[in-house]
Amino acid sequence: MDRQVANAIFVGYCGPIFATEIELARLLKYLVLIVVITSSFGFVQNFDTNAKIKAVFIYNFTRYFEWPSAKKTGNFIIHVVGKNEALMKELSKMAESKTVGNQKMEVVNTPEFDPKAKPHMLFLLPDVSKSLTDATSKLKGKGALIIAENAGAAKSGAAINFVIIENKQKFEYSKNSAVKAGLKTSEDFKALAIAVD
Amino acid sequence: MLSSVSFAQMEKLERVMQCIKAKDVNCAKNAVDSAFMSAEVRKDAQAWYYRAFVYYELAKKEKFSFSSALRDTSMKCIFISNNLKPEQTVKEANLQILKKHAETYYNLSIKLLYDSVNCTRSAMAYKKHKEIYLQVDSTFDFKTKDIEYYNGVGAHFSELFGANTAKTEFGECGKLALMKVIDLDPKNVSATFNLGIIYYNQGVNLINSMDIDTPLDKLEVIQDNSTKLFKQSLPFMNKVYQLDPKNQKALEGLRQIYQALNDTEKSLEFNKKLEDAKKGSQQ
Repeated sequence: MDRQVANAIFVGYCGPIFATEIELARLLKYLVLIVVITSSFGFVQNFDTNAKIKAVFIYNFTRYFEWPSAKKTGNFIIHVVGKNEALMKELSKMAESKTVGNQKMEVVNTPEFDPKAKPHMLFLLPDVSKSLTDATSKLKGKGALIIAENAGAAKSGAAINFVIIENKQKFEYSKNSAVKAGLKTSEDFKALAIAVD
Repeated sequence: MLSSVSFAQMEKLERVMQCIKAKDVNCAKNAVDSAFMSAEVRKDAQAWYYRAFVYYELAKKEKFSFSSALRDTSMKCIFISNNLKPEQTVKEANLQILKKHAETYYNLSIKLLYDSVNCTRSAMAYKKHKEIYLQVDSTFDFKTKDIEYYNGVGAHFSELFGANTAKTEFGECGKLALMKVIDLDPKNVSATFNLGIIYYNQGVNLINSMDIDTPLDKLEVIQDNSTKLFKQSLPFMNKVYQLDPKNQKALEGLRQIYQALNDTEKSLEFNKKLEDAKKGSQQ
């Protein structure tokens, strides 16, 4: 008799307490969360790795060359010719925090080569690579490091030419072109580059 | 057995049931603890079930704690009850409580991901969930549930790492979880895609976190390492593309990976495929 009473109560309270609607709703909420996160898309957006790498290269170039004394006053001008928004963003960020000696950095961007400009560095992007001959002759001996990004450019007047080797950004270096431009450099720098002469 | 319990002890156990019916858990706890002072009661499987139930109810207050003495007591009571060879109804009721404890650990494993962003503790909770559930159903096949859980963990940490690549531990958590999914289900598109993303983001993080005055020799090492990571991401994204050539996320992924690998031609090729796929989906 006692046993029957006990069992009746036992079964009675088991049912409703064990599966409340609140608990089921919570479980369903977690299941929904799992489905949502499984369909996520987590790329790092709008980050051009090559632009950052090039900016680091360009900053390094300022440390390996010596510009003529006439160019050691005023702002240190980096003139980028052509279109590369990501690179401009990185260089502008660099110019905000870095100097070359006592000179403040200034980054200029134009769609075409301006023969009247007197930059410390001139970077001709691939879309304006045809301007290399013009730039080389106009800036000869004027203390401008010409950087290009076009096959064969280091043998056609550019002191530096960015190249891709085995998926990595590298650079060719023409000491002759740097000297013709009126710049001094060290042998250490040559060791870090793909020397073309 | 309850029938062997003396009348006085029987009264105490009935008091427990009355408290439970009245939804007064503290009253039930006092009553059950008092009843368990008796050696007679401690030999009764059904009494142990009552105690397990009362402590289960009490442990609900600690449902978001990984360690809960109340939960442990409840589970220990079930263990003892089952060892006392209970009747079928008690056995089944014990299993129901055990099942609820298993669910608590599963909920905890998910909650830990969101609130504490702690993949290790989440994995511990999930492991505990499995251990307990296997006591409920020793034949249960966890493969589907494992895939669901680890895929969820992997996608969650992949997204967190994408939003903040400085948090390298998020990337590692995601990677470990997704590797488990791929072990279980090699053709799992979501896990394969997210693994590709994590490797890619790890490569990006190396470059993104680099100072502008990083010396050239160090830059070379960073490029070597990031290139390795981009190359590691490539087969995963390619696999998603092979499984589903119109998958826009995979096309976008391949475009970005090839761009990071400085392979302009391939990057443009996938950009074109992506544009075509977008046009196709609009028609």
